[in-house]
Amino acid sequence: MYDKVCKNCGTYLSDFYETGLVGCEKCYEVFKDEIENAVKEIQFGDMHTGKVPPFSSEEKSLLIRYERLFKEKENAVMEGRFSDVRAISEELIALKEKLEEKGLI
Amino acid sequence: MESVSPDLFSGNIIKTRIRLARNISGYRFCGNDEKTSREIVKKVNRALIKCDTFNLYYVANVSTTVLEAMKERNLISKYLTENAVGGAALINADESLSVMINEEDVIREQCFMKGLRLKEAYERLDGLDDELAKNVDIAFHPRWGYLTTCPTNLGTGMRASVMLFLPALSESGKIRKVAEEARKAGLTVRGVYGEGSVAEGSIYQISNEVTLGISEYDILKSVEEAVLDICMTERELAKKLYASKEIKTMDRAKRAFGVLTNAVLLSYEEFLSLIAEVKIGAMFGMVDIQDLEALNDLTVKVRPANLCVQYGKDLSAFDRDLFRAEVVSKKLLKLREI
Repeated sequence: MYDKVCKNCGTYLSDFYETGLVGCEKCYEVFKDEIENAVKEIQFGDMHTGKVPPFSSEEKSLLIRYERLFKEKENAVMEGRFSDVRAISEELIALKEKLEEKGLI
Repeated sequence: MESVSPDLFSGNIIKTRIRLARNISGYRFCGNDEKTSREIVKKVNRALIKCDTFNLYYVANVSTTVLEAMKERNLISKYLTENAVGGAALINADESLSVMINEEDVIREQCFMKGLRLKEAYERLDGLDDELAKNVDIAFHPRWGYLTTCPTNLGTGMRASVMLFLPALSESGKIRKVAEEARKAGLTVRGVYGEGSVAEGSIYQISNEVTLGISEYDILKSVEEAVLDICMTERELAKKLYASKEIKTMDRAKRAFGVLTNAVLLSYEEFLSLIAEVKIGAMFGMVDIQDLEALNDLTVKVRPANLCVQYGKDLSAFDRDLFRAEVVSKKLLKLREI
């Protein structure tokens, strides 16, 4: 049987099924569907509503927000959430302008 | 629910613990090699240097007894001492803060406070966590929040726990129903000492099971509400079981006090069950001891490894029982004088 593997840390999907543990943040992309199924069983929802880590500077915070939104947009496209794609795109454009003004991208 | 002051339950509420699980972007979440683990320890130590005066302990450099004693005081976990490569812990002077490094997650921050002080403990740890995030790139996903080794910790990465003394619920067996109710609310109730449904010493821990899809403050609120609710049920039941049977309760408490202050050999299991009787007596004014917190502290101080640390060397089981009897007797007699 085909066993998915995270090339970043070498964790196999069968390892995740056996131990319930992942090896690194890339595992969350590689085993996304399987983790989603596990999360449904054990958690109240699949969207974090709590604390966001603070960052040392506004610039860094904006850059990370930009990267995250980019990733979020990719996910939304893949999942066919088109209204989300539109909303994220609008935010991305505004953020990009801000970053360009600051000469960060 | 009508607002209830936690002070009403000072005899039942022992301590609060908040734990945050964090990982560093670009590193494995667990199972890093020795060299990388050391690099992570230095990184975390540097990041938190301004927060408090921490002592840094490398698991490999600390004796088994001292590690065990730290474990008994909840400062470090079994995982850190047994499974972790390059495991380390940063612990502050009053032992209210502990940061485990290279545990099941790369970082596990903990804050401890006596009594029911969930918000205060969280806010203290939140400050430490902010400092960490300013200096270390924390693994965070916009949708899943803080990324953790086990998806059961995803989201907030937070475990908020309160340790409770629940003799009436334990003795009546009603603790099982309480645990079932808690589970429906995304919480868990388990015995702190011993295995099975009846906890030794009637000491239980209530904590959140769910970490994703709920904010930190909502978790704190649900744990606090459940704690007060459980304590109210315990109080009502205790009135029936103990207060209304004054002579019997007094007899049990005074007999327990008698054994604890006269025994020559005292095992930890015997101590736990007898100190629970004394505590019940003290809570209802049937034993002349006011300082219930001191009884909680004593419960930790006479655990096997902490007893050895106090004595200054490793003791055999027999010698531990001998020394425990001496320590307990002295402390209880002193507490009665105050």
